[in-house]
Amino acid sequence: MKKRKTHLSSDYDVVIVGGGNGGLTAGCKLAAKGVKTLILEKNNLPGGYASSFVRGRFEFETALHAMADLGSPENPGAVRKLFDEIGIEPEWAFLPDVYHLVLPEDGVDGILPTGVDAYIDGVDALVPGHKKELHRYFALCNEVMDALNYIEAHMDNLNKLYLLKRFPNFIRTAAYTVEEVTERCFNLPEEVLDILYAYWGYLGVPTTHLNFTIWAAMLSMYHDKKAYVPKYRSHDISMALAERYTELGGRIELNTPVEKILVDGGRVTGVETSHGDMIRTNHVIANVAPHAAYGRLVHPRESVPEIAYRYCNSRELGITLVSVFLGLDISCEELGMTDYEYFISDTMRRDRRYVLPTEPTLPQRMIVSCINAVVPEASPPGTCILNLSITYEADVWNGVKAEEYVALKQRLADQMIEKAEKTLHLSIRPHIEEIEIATPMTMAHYAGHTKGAVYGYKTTVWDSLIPRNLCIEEEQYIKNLEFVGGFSFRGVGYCSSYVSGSVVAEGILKKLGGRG
Amino acid sequence: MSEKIVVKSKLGDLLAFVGLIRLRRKKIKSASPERPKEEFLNTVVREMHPDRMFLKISEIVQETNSTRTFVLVPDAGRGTEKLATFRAGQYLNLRIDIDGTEVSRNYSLSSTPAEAAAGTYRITVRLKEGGFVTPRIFENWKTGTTLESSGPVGNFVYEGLRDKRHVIAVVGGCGITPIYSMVRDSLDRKDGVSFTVIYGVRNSDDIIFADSLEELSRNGVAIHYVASEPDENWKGPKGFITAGLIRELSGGVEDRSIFLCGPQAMYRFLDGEIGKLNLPRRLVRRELFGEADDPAGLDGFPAGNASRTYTLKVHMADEVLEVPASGGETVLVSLERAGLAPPSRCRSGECGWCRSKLISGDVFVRKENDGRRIADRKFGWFHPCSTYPVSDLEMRLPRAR
Ligand SMILES: Cc1cc2nc3c(=O)[nH]c(=O)nc-3n(C[C@H](O)[C@H](O)[C@H](O)COP(=O)(O)OP(=O)(O)OC[C@H]3O[C@@H](n4cnc5c(N)ncnc54)[C@H](O)[C@@H]3O)c2cc1C
Ligand code: FES
Repeated sequence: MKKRKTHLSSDYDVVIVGGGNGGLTAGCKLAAKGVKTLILEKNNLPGGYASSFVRGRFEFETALHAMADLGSPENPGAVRKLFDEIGIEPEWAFLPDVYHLVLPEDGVDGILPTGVDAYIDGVDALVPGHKKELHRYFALCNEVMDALNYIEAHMDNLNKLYLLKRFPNFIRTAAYTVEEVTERCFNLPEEVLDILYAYWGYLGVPTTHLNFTIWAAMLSMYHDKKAYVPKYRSHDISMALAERYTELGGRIELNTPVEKILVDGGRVTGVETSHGDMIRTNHVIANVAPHAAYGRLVHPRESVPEIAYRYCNSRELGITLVSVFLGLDISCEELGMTDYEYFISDTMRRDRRYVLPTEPTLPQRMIVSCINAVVPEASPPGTCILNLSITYEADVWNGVKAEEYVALKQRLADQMIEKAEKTLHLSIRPHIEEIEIATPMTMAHYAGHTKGAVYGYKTTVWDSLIPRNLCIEEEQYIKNLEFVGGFSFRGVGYCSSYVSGSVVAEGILKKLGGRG
Repeated sequence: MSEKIVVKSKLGDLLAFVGLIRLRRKKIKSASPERPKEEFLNTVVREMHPDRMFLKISEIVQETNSTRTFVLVPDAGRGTEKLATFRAGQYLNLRIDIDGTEVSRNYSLSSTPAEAAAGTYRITVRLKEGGFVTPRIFENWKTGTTLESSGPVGNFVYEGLRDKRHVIAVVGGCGITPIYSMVRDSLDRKDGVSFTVIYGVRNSDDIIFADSLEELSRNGVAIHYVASEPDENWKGPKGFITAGLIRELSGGVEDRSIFLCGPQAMYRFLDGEIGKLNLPRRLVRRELFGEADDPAGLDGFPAGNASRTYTLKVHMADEVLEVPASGGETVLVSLERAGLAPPSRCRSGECGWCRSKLISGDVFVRKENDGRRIADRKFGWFHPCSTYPVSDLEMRLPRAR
């Protein structure tokens, strides 16, 4: 018998390039409204970075440390509302704390719980006497969050005057960095800032450059909606979305990289895949970065306007990371990992806070997490899963050669384990049953992003939520080619990428509806 | 918040807000107009993990009566300029066309990463009498034959952060291949790891790489042969490799890692023996062995199923195909027989490369190396390479990338 070639033969209303968080969400929303939708995913499973992998008797989480903006059934956040609307119910474990902060050189070692009051108490236990000012600070963060929620709910007929009147501080702080706002407007001593700024890791941009708006939104969200992790790793969420999408009538084709986004007369006309499928469509949602779409996929090349290249080049790629995944043959209690997540920095003192490595050497900052502390059954009895993660600016690994790669990642993992053992007084090494080391190369291989960036584009002042959203229309360089996911208008993080998918889907629904 | 925050000045803050759009436009307009090119890192990754490599046989070495080594070089004519780096112990998943049916088979790289850097891979294939692919390999593969392969894959590698500095490798038959690579790679890199190789063979004619192993043993690698069908002048240990023999030949198992690689019959016997050594799991690593050679003998396999036949209704891209299947063969093999060229890599249930959706029907899943993710089980996804039909099935199969 001859080898069979099978093709995708239909046309679609919307084709989604990439089945990551944004693509899957958009797919669900469109399919639910009967829009004929096709998701093309290059990997053999949906979810993008939101996934898991198995080694021996362990299933490791690939990406998520804490799901923000999920909230509880009583106080639902954007993600829960969205999942309810779509109709999926992954199981979650509640995270009692934002992090356990350990700054050996600063003499800081304490748990910082979620919830504004509890968090402030946590800070007070470490540096007493600043509760009032911290409450003021969180009140500002909440105002920013409320403003963003208001904007989202009134996208179509935004009353700018009301916005200014009702949320003046949102407007007044939007054009500044975290440090500009925090240090000019609040009387907080260095010791408190050290603790507060430890959050920067969640957004991957130092507080010297990070825009205040997105920072404030994140703080407000973590404390109002608390944080969770999926019980069965991110793959469970991605699968729930993908299966629901199929149930709603959507089509997803795995193992199918898109090679071309076809454009004619400045608008999308179809896509072409590595299997030779030619699919006609008038709408493409790209769950890939503009770097990839404009740089590689849009065809013919001449249909990419020069400004689209400038747009890509103007933007700074966010961080990438090295992660060591360990399956240990010891329980987390015996190991001594009593809390889920430890943020370690040698110091957070201003002069050394953001001294970041320019070579792939060990940075001072590391996150150590043990999912079994919140999901005891995450691995078999008597074992636990440990994750050690460090981050790098996207350029740092962009020069490592294939020949030096394995030795380099092993050396780093060795140093990371040593650091975790020393700082947290753990004995990890004698218990390693499985080990996997993921690097920027792994990220680039898996999701295809430039330099293995995992955190989208940096949300600095001019490239944060507000300017991105205000310019979204003028920056649509090819008609009906829209972006979702971590590299889109919403910025990084699971919740942002889910919401980006939802927002774009709603926009398309409107257009399709208008067409009749 | 009730108060009004002033960051720089009352008016300045508002102007800064209004100016955000202008600032953004200016940033974009003043950036480079060059098309973003592939970055160095992404190129390295593409070369390290190619989806597909095209290789050409440059030389064939007859190792034993039933074993040949094929020396492979990149086939630039078909687009493979250089060989991907690999870690000693990894294998290639070859896509082999047999009379128009595309099947895949795995062969460990018997050469070292240093040799790959210099432009060659080697795989060493043992002829399986009555096998589907190897007789064709022995008949058809000549110098100049071109092959299609995955990049190097697999997790059976020495990992210094996990494995002990002393490795006892217990191997049988062509299971020597990855170990042969590991031992020489370790010497190349002078990483100080010491190996005791316990190599189960039929008789002295059955020893693959005999001369080089001799040389390695002169260089300090401890190599012991255990013959199951010894010839008259065999001097070494005879019979099967037992727990006692492992202890004796390696001078004790304390502070050692054990690496196992061999045919299934060897694992079946060795599992019991290794059990007697009472070692924690982390100290025992096993290479995968592919499909079960005797499915009916698998723990829990439904009686009589091996001789039944079923129909698989397969959704692939926009087509629906009906394919016959045997209860005694994995779903993957039935799909291959039907010419569907399904995706596969490890063929052992572990890697998830063949991952497909089971829409309806009953199946038996082999327990060893069941690498399905929790959510995959929950949502009815399965690994056809380690799954047997127990009724007619309906499934969705992704195309091979
Ligand atoms: C990780 C790994 C590494 C390996 N490394 C090596 C190595 O270094 N050297 C080595 O010699 N071997 C190695 N092997 C084993 C090798 O992959 C093959 O299994 C072996 O060569 C036997 O192949 P065969 O096709 O001749 O045998 P078979 O046992 O016939 O092949 C297996 C299957 O083929 C099926 N089959 C029969 N007819 C058809 C048909 N018409 N269409 C499709 N399928 C059919 C059978 O049902 C059977 O299940 C390795 C295996 C693994 C998993
Ligand atoms: S091919 Fe690896 S799990 Fe099936």
